[in-house]
Amino acid sequence: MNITRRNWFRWAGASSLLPLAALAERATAQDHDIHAEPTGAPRMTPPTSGAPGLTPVRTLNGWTLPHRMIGSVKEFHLVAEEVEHEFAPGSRAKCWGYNGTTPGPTIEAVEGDRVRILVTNRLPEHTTIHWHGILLPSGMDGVGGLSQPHIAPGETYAYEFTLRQNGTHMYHPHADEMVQLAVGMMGMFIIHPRGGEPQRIDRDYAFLLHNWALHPGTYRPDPAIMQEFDLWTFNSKVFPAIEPLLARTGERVRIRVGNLSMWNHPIHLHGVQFHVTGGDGGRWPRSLWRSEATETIAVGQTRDLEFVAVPGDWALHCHMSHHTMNAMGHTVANPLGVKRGELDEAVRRMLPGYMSMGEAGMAEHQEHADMGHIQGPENTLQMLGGQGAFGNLEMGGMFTVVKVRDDQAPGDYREPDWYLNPRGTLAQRVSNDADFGAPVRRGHKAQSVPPLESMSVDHLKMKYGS
Amino acid sequence: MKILIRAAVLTAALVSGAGCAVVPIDRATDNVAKRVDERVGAAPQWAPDTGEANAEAAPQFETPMTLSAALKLAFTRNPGIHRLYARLGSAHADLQEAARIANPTLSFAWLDPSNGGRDQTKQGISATFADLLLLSSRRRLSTAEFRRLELTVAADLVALAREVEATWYAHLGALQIAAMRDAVAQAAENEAALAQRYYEAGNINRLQLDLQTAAAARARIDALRAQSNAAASRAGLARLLGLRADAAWQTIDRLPAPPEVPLPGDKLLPQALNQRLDLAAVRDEVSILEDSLGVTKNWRLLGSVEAGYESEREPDGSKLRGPKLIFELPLFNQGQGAVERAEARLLDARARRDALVRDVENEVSTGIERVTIARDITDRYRDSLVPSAASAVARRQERVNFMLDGVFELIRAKRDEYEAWQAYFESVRDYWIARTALRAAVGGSLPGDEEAGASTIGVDEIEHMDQGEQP
Repeated sequence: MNITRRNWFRWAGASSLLPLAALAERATAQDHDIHAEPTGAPRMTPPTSGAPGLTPVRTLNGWTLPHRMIGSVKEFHLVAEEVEHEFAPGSRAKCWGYNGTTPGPTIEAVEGDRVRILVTNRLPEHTTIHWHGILLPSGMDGVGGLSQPHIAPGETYAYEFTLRQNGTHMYHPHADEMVQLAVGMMGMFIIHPRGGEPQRIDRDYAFLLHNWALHPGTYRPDPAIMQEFDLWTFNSKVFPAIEPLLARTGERVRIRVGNLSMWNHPIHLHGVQFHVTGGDGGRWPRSLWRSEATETIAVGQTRDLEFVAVPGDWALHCHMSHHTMNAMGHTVANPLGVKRGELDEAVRRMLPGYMSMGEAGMAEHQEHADMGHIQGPENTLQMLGGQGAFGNLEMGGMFTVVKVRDDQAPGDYREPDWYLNPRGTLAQRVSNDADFGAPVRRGHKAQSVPPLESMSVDHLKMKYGS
Repeated sequence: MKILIRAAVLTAALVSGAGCAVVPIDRATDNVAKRVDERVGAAPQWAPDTGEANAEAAPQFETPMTLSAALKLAFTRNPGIHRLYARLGSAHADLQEAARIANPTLSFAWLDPSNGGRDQTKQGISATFADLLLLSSRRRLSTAEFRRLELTVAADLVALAREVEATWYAHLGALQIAAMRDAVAQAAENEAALAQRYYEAGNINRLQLDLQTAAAARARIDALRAQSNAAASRAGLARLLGLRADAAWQTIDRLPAPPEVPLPGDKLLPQALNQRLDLAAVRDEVSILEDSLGVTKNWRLLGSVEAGYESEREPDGSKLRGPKLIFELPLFNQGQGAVERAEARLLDARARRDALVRDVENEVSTGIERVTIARDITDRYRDSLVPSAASAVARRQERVNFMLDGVFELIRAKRDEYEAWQAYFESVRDYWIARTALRAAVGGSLPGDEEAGASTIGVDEIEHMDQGEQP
């Protein structure tokens, strides 16, 4: 297993050549054409039809659910089922999702629409769907046992209500949540404003934050885990399998982020000061917008981040370091700074495959893994990966790149090559001598631990050490 | 009168045969050697000259020593085999004596009269006549008894071979276990040395270091104990082979792999009843005692009978001569005690024979069961436990590669693999010891014994095995 950002993008890039209109039928980076289109399937209607001037949402690595018009009602059909999901090449799992994917397809509609959502349960246990943040009659709220009877396996329920708001919302089960969320049942529900955006949005991205206990070497997320997760995802993908966000310089970009994981995530965007313009409570009045570089999306929240794109390759990631990497042991004896010297040879004599790592830090891990020097457990992603123009990115999990170019055509989602830094705008080496210059330094040089002297013990006392 | 008539007839016959040679001892030792060779595949080498000088002579054997070389050595140098030879010799002497009638006695007397007259002289010859009457029975019984002794000597030699085999397998097992324990100790010491470096780097605390140091010391102590056990088993083997433990001899260092040939469970019991030498000996004893009881009954009235001839010269020069007959009158003792004793001894022997038959049956059936189970256990180690433990090391290595686990977990997995190997060697050793016990129960070799079996893997190969390599 050797995923590199370059390989990944080559693959993802091919599918991003598809016209945008095809997105609703087929996610750009997910191969879920295993479901044959049933006859009489809804003909694709742009989700923003009836509201000119609106930009459809682009769900990272995902898709928008087609609907059909039954009279004046937009009818959607969700199917809850077990799915085969790939977090990135080299790691797949049996998850639960909707219509073949996790997250399920994004439901997009326009404020004022009457929507009917059929929910068929193909899971082995009952379920419901809660329409998170959406104003609706109590009996449509989807809390199993409270708002409605549970949807038993094999049953189809219809939810129907009129959308009285606009904004970034979510849907997820409200039945056996600990299991059903842990194995991937979630989706986004985007309601566009009826009268068009007050300020035109050129690119509108959406993704859900999630965490997974897919233990190394296993093929099904473990719903019993509450804190020690293995994978941290944007739309159920980890870097470098997460699509980049593309824009043309000067375009207005919105990133809609929802959090259905069990941790809060400080989402940090490089290169701009974005405005937080709304959440699952709707769009905020302009006076409440905040200018931020990092916005913490709390569990069960959504946030809209808006900015004007500036050229470059900009990182977009959770600021929790361990959320931008893949599975790593939490109880490994810390190898940093341990001078093992000849002992490595002694260990290799009995364990010829052993390669010591971590004495100088963990960066070398990606090199060894990328070059195939070391083999990890099956179905397990290396801890760090991805490559950029200048070397290894040493990232995983909740990380992707916002790529802004002067010449990216409007509506073009094809991925450009690495950013070419204008002359004089790239950091460069001025010396390779550690004693270069006369930097001001304070504090003390690190000292070694006092040596432990072993003492011989006489039989009479049998008292050891201090 | 019947007795006297019979005696007269027999006297003539027996006197003519009285000097006949008994079976020569060489033939007896050859018989023994042949029987042992059939059952063990080696025969005792009885060198008549076994002085101390010989014991010091450099033993001849291939190096490293194999089991068949060890058996040859034991059959040449074990002091016990010479004691058995001596037993055979004394029994042969008994046979020689039993085959002959007591020598006749000559008597002379010179009687000097107190009145100064001429001397009176007396001469006589007499022989114990009962001896002569019983000679035929006694020779038959003695010969049978000698044959029985041959069987017991051969049985003892076979038992010696089985003891050598059991000790041999125990020793090879001890060698492999000691080597494995050394590998485990080495692994634990590596772990502790690494822990020391982690401590010096400030990355683990004193408690963690203490635990590692103690574990390494414990592992080394275990290795030393295993080394001591191997030395003890070497001493045991040396004693059986008539060697000095501290001399420069080496055995092969790997247990053989269990043979593939299945045991024909139903054939072994008839084979055992047929070829067990101790059973043959006790059966012979029964028939000897049956014969002996018959003789005792037939001759129960015969006490001491002495026949002789005397001549006497009287002082006056006249000679008196004539035969003499002295015999016991069976008035009070009519041999009831002797008959009762013979009956009791026969009863006892029959009981011992029956008990031994039952023992043989049980030894064979439990022996087959033990060998079969021991075989099953070694197969489970070989097919499942050891490969799983080795695979676990490879899986652990993958986790270490991806920083899911650390080097300490990896070394511990390797130690667990070594432990599995050691248990496998123990199971192979136990298999061979069980098989040796079954050989002893059956009284000879088992199907598969002749198979030039493969050896088990060497500890040095285990230590240099590639990770993930399936044993």
